[in-house]
Amino acid sequence: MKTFLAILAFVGLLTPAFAAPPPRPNIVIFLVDDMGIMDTSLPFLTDVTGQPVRYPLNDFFRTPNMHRLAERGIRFNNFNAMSVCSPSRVSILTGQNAARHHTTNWINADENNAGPHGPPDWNWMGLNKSAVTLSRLLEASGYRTIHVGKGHLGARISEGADPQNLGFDINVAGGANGAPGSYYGKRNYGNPVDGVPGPNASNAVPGLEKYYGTDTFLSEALTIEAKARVDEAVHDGRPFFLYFAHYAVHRPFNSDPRFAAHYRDSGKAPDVQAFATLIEGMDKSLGDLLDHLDELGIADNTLILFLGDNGSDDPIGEAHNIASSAPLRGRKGSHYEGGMRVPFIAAWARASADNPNQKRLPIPAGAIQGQLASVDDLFPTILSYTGVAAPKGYVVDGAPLETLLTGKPDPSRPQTFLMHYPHSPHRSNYWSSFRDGDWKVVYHYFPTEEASGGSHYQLFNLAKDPSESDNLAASEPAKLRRMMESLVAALTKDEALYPVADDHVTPVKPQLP
Amino acid sequence: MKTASCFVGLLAAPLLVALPAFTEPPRPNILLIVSDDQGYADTGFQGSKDIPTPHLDQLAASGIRFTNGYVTHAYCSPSRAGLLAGRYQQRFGHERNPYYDRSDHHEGLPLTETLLPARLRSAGYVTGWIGKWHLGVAPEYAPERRGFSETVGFLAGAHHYQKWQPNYKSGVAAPIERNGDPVELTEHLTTAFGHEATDFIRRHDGKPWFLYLAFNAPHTPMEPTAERLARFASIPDPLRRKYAAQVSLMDDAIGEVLAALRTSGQADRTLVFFFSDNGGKPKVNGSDNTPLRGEKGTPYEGGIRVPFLMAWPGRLASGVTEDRPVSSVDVFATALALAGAPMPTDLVYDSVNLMPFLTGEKTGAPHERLYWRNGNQFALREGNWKLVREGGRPAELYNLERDLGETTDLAKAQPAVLTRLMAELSAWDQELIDPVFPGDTGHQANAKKNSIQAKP
Repeated sequence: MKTFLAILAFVGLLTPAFAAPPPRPNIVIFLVDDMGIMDTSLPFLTDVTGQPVRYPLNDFFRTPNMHRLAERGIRFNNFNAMSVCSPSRVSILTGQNAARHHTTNWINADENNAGPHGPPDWNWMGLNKSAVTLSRLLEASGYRTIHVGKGHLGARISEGADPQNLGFDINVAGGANGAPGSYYGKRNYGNPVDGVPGPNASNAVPGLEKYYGTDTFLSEALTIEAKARVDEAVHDGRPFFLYFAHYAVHRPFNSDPRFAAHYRDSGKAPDVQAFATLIEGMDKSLGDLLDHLDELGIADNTLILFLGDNGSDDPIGEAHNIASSAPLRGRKGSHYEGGMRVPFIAAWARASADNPNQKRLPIPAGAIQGQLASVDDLFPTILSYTGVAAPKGYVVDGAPLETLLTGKPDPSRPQTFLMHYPHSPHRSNYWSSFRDGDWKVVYHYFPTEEASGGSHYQLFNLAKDPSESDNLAASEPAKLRRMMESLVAALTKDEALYPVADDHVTPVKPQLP
Repeated sequence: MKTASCFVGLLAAPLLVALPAFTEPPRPNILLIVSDDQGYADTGFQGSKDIPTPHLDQLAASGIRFTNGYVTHAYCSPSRAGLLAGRYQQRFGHERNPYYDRSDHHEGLPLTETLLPARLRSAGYVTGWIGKWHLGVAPEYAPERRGFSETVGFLAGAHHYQKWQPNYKSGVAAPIERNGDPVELTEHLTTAFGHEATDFIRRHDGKPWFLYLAFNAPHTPMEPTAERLARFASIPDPLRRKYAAQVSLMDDAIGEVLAALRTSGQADRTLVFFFSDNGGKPKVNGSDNTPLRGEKGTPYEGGIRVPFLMAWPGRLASGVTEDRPVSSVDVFATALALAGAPMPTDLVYDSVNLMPFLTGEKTGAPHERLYWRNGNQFALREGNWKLVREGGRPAELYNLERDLGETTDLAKAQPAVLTRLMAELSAWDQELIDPVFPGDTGHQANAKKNSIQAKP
């Protein structure tokens, strides 16, 4: 027996992995609100050879820590989110497309905002205690699950309003509200000041009382809290899943005084400048978190997934123009790429050839991935990588990203993305779009002159026409028909809910051309 | 002569649409500056002795001063509604000041109206609003939903100028909003609005723009800066002293705005309008409508005739006085014509393009008659005749040429004129509809009724 133990110990010295499994990797989802792919100094878009191209917006923003993260990992230039907040957030936590989970609009905390022709049965209530969520599955498998920041995962009267009902051990500052009442500590983040309710009282940020009356900007307070929760997990010897969802850079565009001087002479409108300060404050938070992981000595075992939750809401120009996300067309909520194309970076917080978890998922430094992916893919990726199984029979629309994260193409993955918005009012109303490789079709259920020249259909080839300026619906009838058939098939497969006619009952389904 | 040649250019533009675009004259910017409750006598160019307004005087010297410049209503919100809709506001039932309740979806400029900014935006203009709105506070009535692409200001009818605790429950203390979001402006509000306007002008040196700069000065509350108040220590009446300081702060802000036009090289391609939204109310804010009779809220000249300027160096005459009656409602057609946008024909519009009248292309008066209605108060102007009818009182008739102060009622002396004008007024009234929302007055009446009922 003694000999056997000695042998075991000996073998253990040679191959430590055999004796004790390596610590499980920590996972961070760093989710930025209303940040589009152009709201950064880090160029994502590339030329035909795959080289990143800088555009004027890249020269306006300052995000050095995103550069730092990108240098350690891979960034995607065709990463898609839903066009508004809640649908993307629910997709991230469930792995299902919004067409399937039916939270197809942003959740107005206090009022069902289906819209006049919205599907009456859409999931305004959001997630609940029995929903299958990434956080719940990771918690059950032994992870410390930490929610910091914006929730917006259920109406105020829903269980989903509290992230702790969704499998998060800890919740800091998350609630039903989809925006902060204020970013300013002096304004108590929108909570009453001296008994006077703040503007947008329904958006008052829960918690964070200890920062009331201070000069601590909201993004900073959340960062301090996130770091403290990470400290606790490390102290307790637990792997952690940190879902760090900044309220930034959602409206209101409160200028962050720490960075305002950087944009004062830019010649841009005051709220465009304020937006840039929110971006820079978010970027500082990313840097602070990376520093902290280094200090704790856990950077090499922590995987960071950085992304935006929908297209940019940079307050530049009209929503359907090439402005807010130039050179892409459109803005948050619109049916153009500017409404749904978001930044995505995956990186180990510090590269290490020795870390066994990194060996299983080697992410090339400074790489750019051009293949299409979406918010639906985070759930299956993280579960697959951490070896956690979803319940039997649970339908997942996304697919694991592991091959793409290593910088390789993955021909086995579908090259498609379905975006379904059967609501109004927003920048575009009652539409679905379907992406298949370079092609994108948009279907307008109630076409208007403004959105689509009065037609149901828009068809774009994004490889040749990334700014969606050349509608090919009329000139490519065969392609349009095929794309529309694919869109209808995808909606059917996902059991989508459709807009309704004037009787508020009869579904209005897409018509083939 | 210079004016005449420019005018030919404008006239030729529609004929040349088929030719390359470079033959078209550039479309001008339109800067619409509106003050609030400012009296007819209360600028230097109107003869004020105690309130110097050097910047407005400079604007007057560079353009046209209208001695018979009117607004469409004797108080704020309806006046602004008619201004932006291009038609008498009673045609669409906007005859009251909207009640301040952000959840009330009835109180506001009816959504059936397509406003001037929306039309100019469709024509390719950048459209900005700065200052006071007062055309509805529920989200659908907000300026950004009515055609303005850049907005900063407050939605209610009056606002504190400094040192207030922001609170949406109270219109006068609500946060200032930029594009619908609360924003903190640190300066005195009048100064801040001036700075916002100069910023807008400097940023939009390219595409033509329309800026509606709606100062709430010198409306109550009376909150000038201490520094400015001290300058007017010689004015004995404390209310008038504060009023003078508020006018003076606004004049400085306008001075900065005009300087921004010059330094950015846009002065010669910008048409500037300036007028007050209605007459002054002397006992409330210390204003002065001399020599006119009446005040804000009355159908006499003091309620509806205001300081009124138009300036466009190089295109309009400078330093001249114009006596033909014009109205704030004319901004609409004038702006659309200059923007090359079609004048809508779907409804009855009362707006007249003033440019041909001012350049000499058209002679005669822009308006055959002007009309006013406020509940049971009516007024009509035709030539020099002014008809006033209030409630159950007998109608009054004045000759404004001889009797600007409306002191001598000629109703009995001129029965034929009276009868004719009464018929005209009645015909116009038939075209109008009843108010579509209760407004402040309706809510106050209800509150009073309820409180009486509540008493044992």
